[in-house]
Amino acid sequence: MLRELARELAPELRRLAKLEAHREIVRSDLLGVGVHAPRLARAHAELVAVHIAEVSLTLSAAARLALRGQDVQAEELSELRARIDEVRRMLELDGLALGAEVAAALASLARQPLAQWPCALELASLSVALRPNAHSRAALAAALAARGEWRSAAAIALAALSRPRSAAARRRWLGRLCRWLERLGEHERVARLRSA
Amino acid sequence: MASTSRALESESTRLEHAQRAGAADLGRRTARALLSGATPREVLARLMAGDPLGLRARVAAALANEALFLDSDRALLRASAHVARFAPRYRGQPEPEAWLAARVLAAVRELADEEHEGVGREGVGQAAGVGQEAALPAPLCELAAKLKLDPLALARACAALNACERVERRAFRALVIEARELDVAARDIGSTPSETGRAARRAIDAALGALERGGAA
Repeated sequence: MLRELARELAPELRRLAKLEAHREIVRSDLLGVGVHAPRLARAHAELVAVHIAEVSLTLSAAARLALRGQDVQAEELSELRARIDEVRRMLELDGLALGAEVAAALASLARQPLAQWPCALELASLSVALRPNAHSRAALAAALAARGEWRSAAAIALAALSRPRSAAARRRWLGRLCRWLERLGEHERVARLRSA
Repeated sequence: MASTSRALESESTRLEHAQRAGAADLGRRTARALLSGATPREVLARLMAGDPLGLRARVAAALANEALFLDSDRALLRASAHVARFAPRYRGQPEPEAWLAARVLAAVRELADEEHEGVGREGVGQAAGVGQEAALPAPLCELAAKLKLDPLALARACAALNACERVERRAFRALVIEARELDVAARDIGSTPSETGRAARRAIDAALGALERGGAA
């Protein structure tokens, strides 16, 4: 019975194949396929952006813990490790690779004891490279300041202060900048900034 | 007679409550079914097939509440991506309504932050920053044509407004876009009329400054 049906339909199917009917249907947006496919592609691009932002945020958080070293509590460490595991699993599930350096850093954070992690500056730099925002820049500036590179840290703060996201962000950056300028001995400048 | 009427009313109220509870339960089960047991990409594909979680309305509400001037379609795609990415973390608490609202708000704020930082693709402000009219969202170009403004200048004005404080954006939206009475706007914002007026003034100055830098068409 199926064979009979196939024989009857064969000429009709061949005719449709010549017309490339399926392509025309997709092009015509009939069934919504033509609309859906590019829209889904745009949504995927947004999903990649969300993945990247989450990895950047995780690396910033790791950089802050790395700076604190001995001071870090066991719960904080296990919380971050759980987050790193989740981040790595989600990247893998979605087949997303963010480069060898990021992969190596995440693997190290997941497996190694804190003392053997990449240094805070490296973690924060990776975070900024992925997503330059207030979180990652603050982590990078803190990592630089911890190495005594006050001028580089202050330069990041000054750049952030030129376009603050909000009054609260401005206050936070101003506080950091004043601390680092104090370390550079620029007390008069600090006084001017505080009074401005 | 009166007791029959009361009994009917009571029965009607009971049925209404049961229906509402049933709808809420169905909503919870639908949300959990959509969010669980898949990769973020798979959840995203589910969400893109007809907006089953009503994200479009949630994004519109978040944009209105934050008074952000963003490409709403891109905000919807970002919110869908956020929900999809964090769906595997969702364990049923808080209730789906609250969880979805939090995810949508995070997505909208993230997009505004990225615009401020100049990250991303065709954000309202990004194209203005690099001077690429072709990269502007279509709705913004249509609005610019209606207002007889240069699209890039309008994009700059939107970016300038988005960079204002939330209270300034809300005051601007209430008084300029929605043309509401000052007292009503101030009450809704939770501020005094004079402060609301001043906040709107600061937002207007920011927007006008950006428009003037671009020039009118």
